[in-house]
Amino acid sequence: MNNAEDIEKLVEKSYLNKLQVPADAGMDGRILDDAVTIMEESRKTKLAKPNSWRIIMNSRVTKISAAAVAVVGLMVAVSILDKTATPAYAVEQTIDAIKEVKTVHMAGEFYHQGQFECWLRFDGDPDVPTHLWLSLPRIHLAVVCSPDGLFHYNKRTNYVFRISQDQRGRTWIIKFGSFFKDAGEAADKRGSVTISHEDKSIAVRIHGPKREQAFLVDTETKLPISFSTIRDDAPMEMIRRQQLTVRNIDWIRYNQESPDGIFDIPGDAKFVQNRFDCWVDPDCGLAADGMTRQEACQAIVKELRRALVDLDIETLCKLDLTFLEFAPEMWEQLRQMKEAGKRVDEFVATDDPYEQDGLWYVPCELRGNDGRTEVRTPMIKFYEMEGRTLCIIVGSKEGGVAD
Amino acid sequence: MLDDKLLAWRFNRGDTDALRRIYGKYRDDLLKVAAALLNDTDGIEDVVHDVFVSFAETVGQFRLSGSLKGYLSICVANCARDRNRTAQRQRKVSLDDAEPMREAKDRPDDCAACGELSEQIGRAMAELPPEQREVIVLHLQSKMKFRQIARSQGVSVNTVQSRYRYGLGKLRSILDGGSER
Repeated sequence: MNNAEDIEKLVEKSYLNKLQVPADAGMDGRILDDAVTIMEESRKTKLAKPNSWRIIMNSRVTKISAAAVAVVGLMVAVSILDKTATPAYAVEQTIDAIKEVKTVHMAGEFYHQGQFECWLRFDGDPDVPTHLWLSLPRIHLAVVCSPDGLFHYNKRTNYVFRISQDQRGRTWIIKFGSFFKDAGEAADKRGSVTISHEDKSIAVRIHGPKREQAFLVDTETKLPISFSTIRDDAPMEMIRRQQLTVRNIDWIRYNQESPDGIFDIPGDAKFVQNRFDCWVDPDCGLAADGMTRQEACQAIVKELRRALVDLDIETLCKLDLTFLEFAPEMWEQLRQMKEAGKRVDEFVATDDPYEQDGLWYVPCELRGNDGRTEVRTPMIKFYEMEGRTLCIIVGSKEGGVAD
Repeated sequence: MLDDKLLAWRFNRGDTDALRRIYGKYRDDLLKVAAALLNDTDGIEDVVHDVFVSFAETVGQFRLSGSLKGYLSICVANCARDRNRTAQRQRKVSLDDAEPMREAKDRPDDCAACGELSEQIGRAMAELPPEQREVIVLHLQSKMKFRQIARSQGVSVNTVQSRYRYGLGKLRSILDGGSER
């Protein structure tokens, strides 16, 4: 045996882990029956036990003097009783209440994808919705999952893209019925939870080492009505994650009728080949009317250069779909880098535009003010929308398409 | 952690289901702590029984300041220590030399743990002074920090760390067939 670590491991693995505990079937019953009996007796005794204050107050002399302070006492008592009269709350009440929910309508914010609005429809199992409609305004689309199909839908263009990934199976949705428990467990071992009664709601605060989150629960229905991240010491950790991670839920409404046809594919919808086709709308890209494809490609690269150098977020998001995925914090980081002197100095075409499989490419070079260079080949697609020709960057040869 | 706080809160409000859930959650861990600390297998159930009955009695007044598992493990350790002492006293008074001391095979370490190595470690553990054995079991089985163990035993962290270090050293020595045996 060489050192303390070895002996620790040996004791743990070869002894403690292998210790067999009694497997007598009746043991649990014997222990629990006695414990429960004692618990109930103890509780009754404590409730019935007169306290010393009551004994003093029962004396004749005290009764007279007590009358003098009765009015003051009554006022105090009312305020105390008013607080203690608040119905007792247990998280299980919320979980039970959620079991009865038929629809959920909520709006909030994901760490990575930004604002969202969502409709969920349940049929008995609060953990698995039968229907999901999730709108992500930043990328102009709704994700719809229902027994009839899974698709992305852009209401403005009426474009539909069929997807294979079922959002109903994603963590943030699937365990809606176990929302509290999951959030609490995520608060890690050093976390804690506090429950407090507020005016018209119950606040369930989860204090974790990196973040503090809170649910507000309706006192009457016991259903959560909002969720917020109060403190977050490492937001970028979550923002960098591609999956849907809820940062806040501004409001949650229950058992309302969802708008007609929200989960259906409109009869006149146009099916598109690529996911990013659904992100496009007439406000995107560069108007390329009257230009040749090559001219349009050169023009959009020129416009992109200006936006990169100026860090013009609006134009960047309009011209290049990949920027739509950037969370506000990521822009803020870029802004700070620019202020610190780390900026894009040049973005220039190094060769002529060329076409390949229906997409256009422009070989370019990105130059930073620190002298570093990077080859970047924007991937450009042309769309005909509302009688106009639009030229839009949908990705890059190096980084792939916006997805 | 969230579960424990909520369970403790519900337990304090008289929810017997919460008590059942606490039992179900920590039963195996506590039985293991008892098995590792007791000198007789018959007492394992009794110790866990006594701990849960005492815990049930605190309804309405129980305050959870650390981990529930740690709290219950300490209770089991205290109870096991008392039981070992009582058994030792009884043996001295009533049996004295009339009966031989318990054979090694009667110890939980030997009959409950499987395999030759486990048996060896079990025998070695049984030879440790109770306070050293307790620290090792609470730290390695219940995953308690030295600080928590120190607080629960009313000694300094240094003392607990020393007990742990000496305990491991003695174990190593016994297992290596050293002179401390």
